[in-house]
Amino acid sequence: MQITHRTQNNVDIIDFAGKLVMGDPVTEARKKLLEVVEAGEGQVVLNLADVTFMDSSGLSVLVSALKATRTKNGDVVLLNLTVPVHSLIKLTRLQQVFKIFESEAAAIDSFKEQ
Amino acid sequence: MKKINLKINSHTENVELITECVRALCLLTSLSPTSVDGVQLAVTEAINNVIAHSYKGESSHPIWITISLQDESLTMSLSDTGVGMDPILLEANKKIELLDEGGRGLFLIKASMDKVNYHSDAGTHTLQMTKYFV
Repeated sequence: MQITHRTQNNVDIIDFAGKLVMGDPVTEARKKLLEVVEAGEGQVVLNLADVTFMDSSGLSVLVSALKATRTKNGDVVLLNLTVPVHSLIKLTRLQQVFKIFESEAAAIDSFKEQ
Repeated sequence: MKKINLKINSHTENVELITECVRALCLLTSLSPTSVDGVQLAVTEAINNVIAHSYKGESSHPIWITISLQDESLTMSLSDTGVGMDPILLEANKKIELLDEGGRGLFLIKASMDKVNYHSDAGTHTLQMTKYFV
C-alpha cells in the first residue's frame, strides 16, 4: 500500500495505491488518515484511483476517517473510484454518506460549499 | 469437475495468494468482470473472518481452500480448525448501520455469492460458497 499526502487550499488530499485490505495496508492507512485529520482542517479528499481492490476492513478505514473529520465539522470525499471499489461502495450503500467525484478540482471545491 | 486444493497459514499476508488464484481461475469461466470481483471479495472476506475470528488473529494456523469448477458453477470451500462461527450468524440478516465500522464481511459474502452454507464436523469448520455462471 502506497500512501502520499498533499494539501491544497487547506484540503488534505491523500492518494492511496495498491490493495486496501486487512493487515498492514489497513493499519497503515488508518494511522495515516487519522494523523492527517488530527493535524488538518478535517477536509479530506481520498484519491482511490490506484486502489485495485478493497475489502470490508478497507471500508472501515474510510468510515473511521469520516467520523473523525465530522468531529471537526469536516468531511471525507472520495475521488476516482475504480470499478471494484465503486461496486463495494454501492453494495454497502456508502454512497449515501460519501460524496464521490471524478475530478480532483471538483472534489476540492466541494469544501467551499460547506 | 476440475478441482484444486490450496492451503495457507492464517497470516493476513497470505490472503492475497488465495484471492489472486481464485481471480485467475475465474478467468477460465464465463463469469462477468463484476461477478469475478464479487467472488474475489467473497473469498477475501471469508479468509479474513477465519483469521480474525476463528483463529483470533493468530497467524500460524491452517486454512484449507478447495476450488471446484463445474459446468455451471464455481464452488469454494474454506476449512479451519479454530473456534468456528455460530451458524446463526449466517442465517441472520444483521442490520448494519451506514457508519458501523465493522460487521460487513458476512453480508458481502452473501451478497456476492449465490449459495452459502456453513457446517462443522469433528472440530473442522467449513464455509462453502457457490457462484453460478448464469
